[in-house]
Amino acid sequence: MSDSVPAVEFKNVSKVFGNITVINNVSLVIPQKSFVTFLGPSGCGKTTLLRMIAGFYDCDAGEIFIKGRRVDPVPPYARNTAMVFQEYALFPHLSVFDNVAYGLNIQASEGRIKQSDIEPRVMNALELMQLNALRDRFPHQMSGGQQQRVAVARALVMNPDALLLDEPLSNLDAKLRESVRVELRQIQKKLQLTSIYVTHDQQEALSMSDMIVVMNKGVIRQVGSAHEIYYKPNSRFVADFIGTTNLIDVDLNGGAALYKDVPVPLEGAGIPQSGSASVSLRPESLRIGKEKVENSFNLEGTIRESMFLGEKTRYTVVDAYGKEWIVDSFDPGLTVFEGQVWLTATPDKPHLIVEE
Amino acid sequence: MDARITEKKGFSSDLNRMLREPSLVASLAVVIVLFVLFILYPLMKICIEPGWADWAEFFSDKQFIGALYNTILSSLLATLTAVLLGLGYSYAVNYTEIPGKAFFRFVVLLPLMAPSVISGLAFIMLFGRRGMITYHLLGMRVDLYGWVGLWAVQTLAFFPLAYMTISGVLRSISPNVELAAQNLGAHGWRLFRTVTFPLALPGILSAFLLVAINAFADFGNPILIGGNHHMLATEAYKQVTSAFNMPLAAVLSIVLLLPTLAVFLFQKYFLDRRSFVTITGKPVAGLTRITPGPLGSRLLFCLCAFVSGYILLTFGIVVLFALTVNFGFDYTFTIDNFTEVFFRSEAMRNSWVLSIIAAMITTLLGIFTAFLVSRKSFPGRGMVDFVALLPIAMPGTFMGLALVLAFNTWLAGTAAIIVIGLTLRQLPVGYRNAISAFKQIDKSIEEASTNLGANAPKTFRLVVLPMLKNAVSTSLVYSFLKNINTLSTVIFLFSPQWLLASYAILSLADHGYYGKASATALGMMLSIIVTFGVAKFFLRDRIRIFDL
Repeated sequence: MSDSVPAVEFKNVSKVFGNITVINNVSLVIPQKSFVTFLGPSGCGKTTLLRMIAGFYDCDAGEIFIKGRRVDPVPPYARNTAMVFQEYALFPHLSVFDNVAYGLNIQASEGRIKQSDIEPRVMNALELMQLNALRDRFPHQMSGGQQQRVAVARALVMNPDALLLDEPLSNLDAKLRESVRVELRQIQKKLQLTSIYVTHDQQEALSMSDMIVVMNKGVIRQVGSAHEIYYKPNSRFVADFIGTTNLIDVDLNGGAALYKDVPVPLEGAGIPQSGSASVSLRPESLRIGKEKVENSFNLEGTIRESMFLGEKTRYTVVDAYGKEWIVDSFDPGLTVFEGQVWLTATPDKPHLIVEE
Repeated sequence: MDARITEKKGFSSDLNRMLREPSLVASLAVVIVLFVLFILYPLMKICIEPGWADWAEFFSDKQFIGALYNTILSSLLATLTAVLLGLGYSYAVNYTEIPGKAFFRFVVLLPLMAPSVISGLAFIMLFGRRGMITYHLLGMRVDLYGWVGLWAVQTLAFFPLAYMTISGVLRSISPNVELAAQNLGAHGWRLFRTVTFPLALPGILSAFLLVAINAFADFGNPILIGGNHHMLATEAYKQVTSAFNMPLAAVLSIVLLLPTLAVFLFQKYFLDRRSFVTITGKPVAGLTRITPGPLGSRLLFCLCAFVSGYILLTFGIVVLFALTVNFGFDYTFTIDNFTEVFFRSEAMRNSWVLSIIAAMITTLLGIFTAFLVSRKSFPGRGMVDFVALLPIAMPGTFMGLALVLAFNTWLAGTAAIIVIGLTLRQLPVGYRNAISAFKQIDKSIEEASTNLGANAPKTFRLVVLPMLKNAVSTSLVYSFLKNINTLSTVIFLFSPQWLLASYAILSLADHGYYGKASATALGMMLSIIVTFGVAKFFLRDRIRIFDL
């Protein structure tokens, strides 16, 4: 099978529960060996989409392909899309070894692999997840983090066409979450495994993914790399959902943008001649100071609040039109701004969003 | 893509989904064939057996109408008293610190391990025409046969069932709720009236229905104690055994089915949806809830002492009769009664073997059906659920007669028909148990198994069964108990080649051989206890015998 065939492909897929359209005409290509994240607020349809790959939900319209094979009529047990469940779903009556060997045992009983292959493959997976010492433990004898590793090992050992991960880190504490995140990504790269990851945590999505699929209300809003999603959101929704941003309405006139009376210098081509649009300015892209800056976006405002956060100070600034701006000042030292200030941004910072 | 997309659900999508999984189709086919053949077909047979003339005969005969009236009245009376006793007893055992609680808890379990006719048998020996208490002790010449005697006997026969059910409900009420009420100033009678009782009410109601179904269908006690107080179940028996009038027996059985069916439908479609007993919060370890005042505690103690005293009296008299030549007249110690029962009759062995086999089939079938119903979608799922629960509404005599009418030509006189009857009778219990066990197991565990390549039967065998260990053992133990002790289910099914112990008690008692009847009853209890002991030894697992 050549690598150019998509690992997973959705063609005009829809899913309806009752009269709520949970997935609305989604088409998407997931390349092989990539780490793809479905990101969106809760209820956006990301988990439903993932479960449709595994076959736990049927399509109400459209088709799903895995490595070129149409799978929407294939029962879930014949899809080879091993999944890591949010609650791990380990078999409580089986040891770690038997949990991981479960799927291979079934393949062996069907004559698809040799019985003698099972043990080395399981041990390999256990080693990869650093579980060798725990092979005879039972799920209830392990911590959440350990259970999570078993769940990952159990899926990895299947060598799936697509590894599905349904918010697998959400039950871990913050520190552990971060280290497992790094580890998962390393293993994925090492094994060249197509992985599809569902999360509502944008940090997780940004730090791990080759490709992020931002969803809302059953619709894909944007597909792109972490950089594209963060710096070049295609909609107010994506700009607002990923990270923190300041969104302003601008009027376009002859290739220039105007926020109320304030010109917003922009870089890049393709700016419409007229109409209205939005501009996103990240808090870290704005500078705060007592002076105007040449060839930049310059806006006067009053500081309403400042919050010292260690590596930065976050200011809330109100401009003459009553809009609140969030501005981060990094490595602030003992500098504290007060009263009237200028917010400035060089022309490469503001991102123009033109929506229909 | 302008056309509005709608959810694929309902019959055709269920069918499509099912056809994609051949193993599911096969499993389902097995269950459906079994249900149609052994539940629906006999049901149809018994319904078409009588003609209009038979119905006309029933409605014109005063004796039958009287039997209907008697059945309803005395069943309701016995149910009411049994539930009241059960409520008081379980409240005392769960909510007070009266002395002897452990003892009371133990004593109430004894009748559950004994054939239900034992209470009728003991009643005759204690209060009958030659009863130990009425005749020998008090020198009275009373005749308690009839509705009064039956009332007393059925009350005590069904009290343990009410106790078990209500006790389970009371224990599931979170102590936190009652602590909250106490914290707000409620105690004693007010606490019971305003918090405990309303929370337990749905459970008490379902105990009432459960006992009512059993009382309606009771066969052994009416035939022993009923005297001239004719009841439907016994009238049907007489029609079969002495008048050989099958159609009329079918009419009587169908009439007997109606109230139990009504109760069943009421419970399934009304009560189950209104239950608000939920287990909220974590049970607080080591917390005892003592709510009644000193007077209440004393009254409850008297109640428990009286009830358990009577139970002990029952078993005491049975033991005495079993171990003497002719208690009341000849007090010589003997073990002849036991040797006779154990070595000269095959009834005990038959009962034991067939009960074990039926318990295994019931358990497996119940759990497998529950798996399909609670975890798979297929057309007719609601129907399968309904049919699996239906036997609970069928009185044992009704089911027995239906099976006889359906399979008389090729299964008459075999052990198979007995096993089928026993299996079906307990199927709803095993099934319901399994359904509630499934509710407690996270669905994603089975999804994980499917996701790793296991189809429905494999998932069932490798993941579901092992996780349902408790439900399996409860169902096994409970069905075995019920199977070996039942009389009404097997009364039309056993044959001279396959005599059963519960019938032996009845016929021995009917002929005045109280010693042998008692020995048989005790022998059955003994074999049950030994069986549990052996099972416990081999399984090493704590069998939860009475956690139903």
